[in-house]
Amino acid sequence: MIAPICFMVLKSLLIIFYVLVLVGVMLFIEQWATRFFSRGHYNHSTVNPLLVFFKLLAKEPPLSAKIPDHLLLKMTPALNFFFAFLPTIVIPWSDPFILFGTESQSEVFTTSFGVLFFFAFSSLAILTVLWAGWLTQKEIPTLSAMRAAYREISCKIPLLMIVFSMILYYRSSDFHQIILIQEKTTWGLFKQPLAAFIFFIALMAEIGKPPFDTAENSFELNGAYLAEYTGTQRLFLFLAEQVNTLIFTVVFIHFFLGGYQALPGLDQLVTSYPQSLFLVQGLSLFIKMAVLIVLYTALKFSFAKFRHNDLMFFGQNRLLPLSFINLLVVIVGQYYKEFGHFF
Amino acid sequence: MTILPVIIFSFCIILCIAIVMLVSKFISYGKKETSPKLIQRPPSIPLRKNISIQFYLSTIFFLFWMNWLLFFLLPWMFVYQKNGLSRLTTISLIFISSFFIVGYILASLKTYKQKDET
Repeated sequence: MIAPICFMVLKSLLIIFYVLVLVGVMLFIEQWATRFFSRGHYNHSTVNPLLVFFKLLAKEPPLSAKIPDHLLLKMTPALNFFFAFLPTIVIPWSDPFILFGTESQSEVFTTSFGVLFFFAFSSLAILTVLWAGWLTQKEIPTLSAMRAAYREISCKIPLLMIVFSMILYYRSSDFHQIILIQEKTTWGLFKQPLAAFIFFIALMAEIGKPPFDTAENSFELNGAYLAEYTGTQRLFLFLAEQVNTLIFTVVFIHFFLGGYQALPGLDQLVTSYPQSLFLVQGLSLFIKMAVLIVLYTALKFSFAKFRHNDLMFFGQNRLLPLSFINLLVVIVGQYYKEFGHFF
Repeated sequence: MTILPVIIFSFCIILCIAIVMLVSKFISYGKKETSPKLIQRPPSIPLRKNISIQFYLSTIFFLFWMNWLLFFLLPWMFVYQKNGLSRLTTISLIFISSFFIVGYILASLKTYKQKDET
């Protein structure tokens, strides 16, 4: 009993460390891409995120007399980080591999309903954003936190409709099964392009990437709901946002870009050296992630920001009907595939 | 046993949070922590009375509680757990669900109290 628990603890800590390293590398890539696409307007160093990390670690957060609950103020950023990290428990990073002599899955919690689990837990972080905004007892942070929540609601529903259609299409809510089906046939991007497009747009709104970041508006409002936080509180809120970006990007890759399966050319390494499975698949996943992060940055400098009401209109009146149409098409297609006729 | 990895992973995240906070405390050790009474923030825009925070908070809280129920709890209980739930799983699920109810009640009470004071 104790040995499996110790093994689970070790695997959890390794995965947390792996995700944090990936977040760091992702930030470096984002900084490089921002310098590249900003055409000389953004001159910060590529190692800026690392310097910000050390600065926030050393800062002492001030205490205001007007805050209603100091304990909740200190706890909320940590809670936000906790809820942002919790969905990583079901994300697979590679095929099962040998660790300390035993075959081990790459995710901490192996289930057949990982997709449902992921989207259920990913909804919890926005609550802490609401608390973070409201606890400051100021208008701009409170309103911006509410806007972030409304943005999430209006774009999460089309996202979930696409998730349902993908579960129906792949006949499974297990990430490993979905990736295996893509390995045998083709990537989901070529089979369901409309779903991929809607998922990508809704994902960018969900994680608050420009041009959908009206609620945060880092440059104009100094992070809006983050404005009253500094030190480790701001660090946790910032890290939670980055972890959210990373895990949703990985879920997009698992649904539409073949997941962790080795890219053409790298799969020969796996057949020649089976011990390098985790490294090769990790590298393939990393390359796909890097491409998407560069794409986010390119879109940031290509489109004007959405106004808040325009964003909600877009989510509810444009993305939602399209996602329903996609779901209907998938249902009809799967019915015909199963029974061979309609009546 | 089913929910044990979730509990262990949660404790590991809490451990990481505690380590970061301790490191931060160690780095900033020696600085005098200012008491809440000493800092007098400059006058800022207070929350307007006509913003019904309680309504928005409670609505969104309820929506996400329903989200949790619909997309995880109900499918798990009725589709996957065909042989019934183990005691540990049941207690964990009740604890997680009650977190939302308690949080909603606390948020409502705090907002109500704040409204009274303003």
